[in-house]
Amino acid sequence: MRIAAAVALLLLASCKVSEPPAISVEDPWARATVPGQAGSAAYFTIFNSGGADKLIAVSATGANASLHSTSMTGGVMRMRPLQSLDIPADSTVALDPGGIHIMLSNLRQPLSAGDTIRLQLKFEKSGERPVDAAVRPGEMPESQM
Amino acid sequence: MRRARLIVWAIVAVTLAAIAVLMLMSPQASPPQQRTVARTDFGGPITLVGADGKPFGTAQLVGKPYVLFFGFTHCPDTCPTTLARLVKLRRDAGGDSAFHIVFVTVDPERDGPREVGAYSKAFGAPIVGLTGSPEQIAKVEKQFGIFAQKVRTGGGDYTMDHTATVLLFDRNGKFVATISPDEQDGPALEKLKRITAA
Repeated sequence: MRIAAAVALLLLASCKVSEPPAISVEDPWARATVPGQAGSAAYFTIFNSGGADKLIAVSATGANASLHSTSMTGGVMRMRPLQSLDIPADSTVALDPGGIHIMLSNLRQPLSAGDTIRLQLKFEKSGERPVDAAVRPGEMPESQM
Repeated sequence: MRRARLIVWAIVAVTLAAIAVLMLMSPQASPPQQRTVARTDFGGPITLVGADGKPFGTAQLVGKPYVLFFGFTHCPDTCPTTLARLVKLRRDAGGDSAFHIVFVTVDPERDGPREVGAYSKAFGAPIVGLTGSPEQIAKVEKQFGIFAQKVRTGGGDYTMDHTATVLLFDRNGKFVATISPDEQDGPALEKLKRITAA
C-alpha cells in the first residue's frame, strides 16, 4: 500500500494539475519565400513557467498554417502533420529548422526579409496568442546551422 | 496487507510490460529499411536536365568537387535548412567556389527547370539546380540509393519523404563520404575540407 501511495504522489507531483500554465512565445520568425514558391515555414520558442498546456491550433494571416513535425530516420526525412503539441509544465518547447515547425502554404503574398507575418496560436488552456513572426532570408538560418 | 502489496506489484509488472510492448510497436523502434548499396552499384554518370532546360551530365561537374543533395522545392523545412547550411559550410571550407552544391529534385512532377532554377538562386550563393523526366530522376535516385516517396496531405496536395543525406564527391567524381542531416557542423566541415583539398 505504501508503494501505491508513493506512486500516486509522484504522479500528482509530476502533473502539476492545479497550477495554470504561464506561456510566452519568443523569437518568432518565418523563412523568406523562394521566388515562385507559395510555401514556407515559421518557428518560435514557447516558454512555460507554469502548469502543462497544449498548442491545439495555428493559423496565419494571408496563408494556410499547420503544425508539422519533421522526423529523420536512417537519413530519410519525413514530414507529418501534428494534431497538437504538448507543452509540459515548466518547460521550453522550441520549434526549429529540421524539427517541429509551422508550415505555411498558399501564401497570398511572397514573404520578404523585413516583413512580418501574423500567426495566431491557440492553446488549450492559455487561449489565443497572436504572434508576429519576423521574416528572415533563407540563407541565414538561425540555431545550430 | 500482503495481498494488497502483491496486487500493486502485479499492476506495476503489467504496466511495465505494456510500456515495453508499446515501445516495441512504435514506429521509432522499428528500424527503417537500411539501404545498403554495394559500392560497385553506387553512383555512376548522371543524365539530368539543368535550370536552362538543357541536358546536364556529370561531365559538367567534374574538375571541381561537388556535393549532391536531393530534395524538392515545396519542402518548407529540411531542404532550405540543408541548402543554407551547405552554403555556410562551403564559405567556411574555402568560399563559394570551393565546390559545387548540386540540388536534385525528387519531385519532377512539380519541379521543372524553371522551379529548380529559381529555388537554387534563393540562397545567396551558386547552387546547381537539376531536374529531369520522372524516369531520369528515378534512375538517379536508384544510382545513389536515394529513397523518395510521395505522401498525400489532403486537398490534392502532397509532400515528399526523402533521403536528406548529402553525398560528397571529389574533383574526379569519386564518391568520398556522406553528411547526415543530424551531423554536427564540425565533422561535416572536416569532410568538406577533405574533398576540397583532395
